[in-house]
Amino acid sequence: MATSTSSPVHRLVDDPVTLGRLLVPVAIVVGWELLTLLLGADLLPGPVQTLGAIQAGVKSGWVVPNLVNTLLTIAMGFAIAAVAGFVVGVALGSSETGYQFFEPFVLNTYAIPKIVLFPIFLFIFKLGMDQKVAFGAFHGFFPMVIITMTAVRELPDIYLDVGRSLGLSRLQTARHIVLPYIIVHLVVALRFAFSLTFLGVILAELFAAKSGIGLYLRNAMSVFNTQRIMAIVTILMVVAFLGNLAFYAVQLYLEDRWNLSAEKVV
Amino acid sequence: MAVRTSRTIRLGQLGLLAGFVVVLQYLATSGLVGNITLAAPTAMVSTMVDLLASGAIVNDVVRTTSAVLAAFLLAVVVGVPIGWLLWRYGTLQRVLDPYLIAYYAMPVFAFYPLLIALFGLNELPIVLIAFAMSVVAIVINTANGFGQVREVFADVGRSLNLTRWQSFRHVFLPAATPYIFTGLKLGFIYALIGVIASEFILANAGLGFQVSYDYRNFATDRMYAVMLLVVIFAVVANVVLRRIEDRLYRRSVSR
Repeated sequence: MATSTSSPVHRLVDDPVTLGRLLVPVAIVVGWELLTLLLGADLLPGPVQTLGAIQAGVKSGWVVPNLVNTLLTIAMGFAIAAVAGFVVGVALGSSETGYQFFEPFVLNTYAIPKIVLFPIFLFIFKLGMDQKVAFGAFHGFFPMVIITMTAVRELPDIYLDVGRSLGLSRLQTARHIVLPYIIVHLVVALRFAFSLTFLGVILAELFAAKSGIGLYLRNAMSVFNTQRIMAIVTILMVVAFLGNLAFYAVQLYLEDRWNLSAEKVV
Repeated sequence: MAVRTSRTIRLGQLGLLAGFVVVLQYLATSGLVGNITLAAPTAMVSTMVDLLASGAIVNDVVRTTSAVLAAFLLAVVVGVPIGWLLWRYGTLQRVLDPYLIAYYAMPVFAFYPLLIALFGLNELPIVLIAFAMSVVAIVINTANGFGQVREVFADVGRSLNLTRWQSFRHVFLPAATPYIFTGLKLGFIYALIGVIASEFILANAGLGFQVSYDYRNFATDRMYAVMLLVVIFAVVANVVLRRIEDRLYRRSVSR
């Protein structure tokens, strides 16, 4: 079916949005290089030096194990935040009294700069992996609860009425009515939970940790090693971007496929 | 009936909060938890009052609030026009959409060490980080807000032959205001989080700095006192902003 005029390149030029999207990373790298020229490579290492610093770091062996350590921490914290946040979110969303009662606690805790509570986590979990996991999960938990809770609450009663009139069991209702309705919101909630867990773990590592890429960022900061700072920042940005993109792709797929939408932003 | 239920819930919420405070008080004073680990709520409050009354942390309060306000105002001045531009030029919005959403998730905080290397250990890196965390929420919600304006409103503007400026001023802006305000609310909260987190990690003044300084010096009472102050500040700001937001949405619905 593909004719010569609809080659990928042609289609790209015909579609300014896709073309623009592909050009954004190019623009970022060019802007970065210009900024480097302006400030000098000592202050702000450019893309090439940064890539070199990443390569050197991988070769000397500190990048990969610490990155793996951090990602593992994020994965554990995220899993806890996702499961606990989902359970609490569904519970609060499906009970009007529960919602009325706990909503202010959840929303106000979300607004607190959680970093000031970090010493409490250090007291409870001591210095180590647990403390980072717990602090990451604490960050990810609240957006997960808020988005899940809101989605469950906004489920129109009429859908449940249909389920009732069909004589569905609780499980069937959950599986065939509630889940399809809230699934896009769940993906959005997971994306936010991932992002905030990520931030929480990095903050924990920057303040006090025995391992992880954030600890190396802190060390690089204390000796003003800008090449290493840029190397770590670049790695973190790319990992966060890719993780985020994965959730976003699932969201777009679901919105497209099931004609659903989720615009709510925490 | 509804009033009574909401009153019962209010009482229950207060009860939960009071119970939490009582448990903390018991844990701290009974010696179950060491006094390096936990300060009694009574000690937190009295230390907080002392710190404020003696002026010991007034400088930090000023530093933190001025940094939050500077970052927030900068984010409003930059974010609202960009949000408007994105709405006005839909293609641009579609191009940037995935990046805006991803940017939202970026640990922009990781740039803080670099900004310190660039500008030194002062308020500028803190304001820039808080600005960077705050601005996207404002951009996204502003663009979204103008997008939510109903076609009917725009039609009325057209039928009245309003100029472009008039229709912006009297149709689009008022209709989009609640949504824009949601962005401002989030932007303010993120600016606060950005400032406190930066101060906590590395700074020489500010409330975030005080908490981490007291932690490192085992000044537990002081640490919890400042922590409490930050929590109160964040909760009050959040409650006030949410009240205003609710009112704006309700007004726009009833019109």
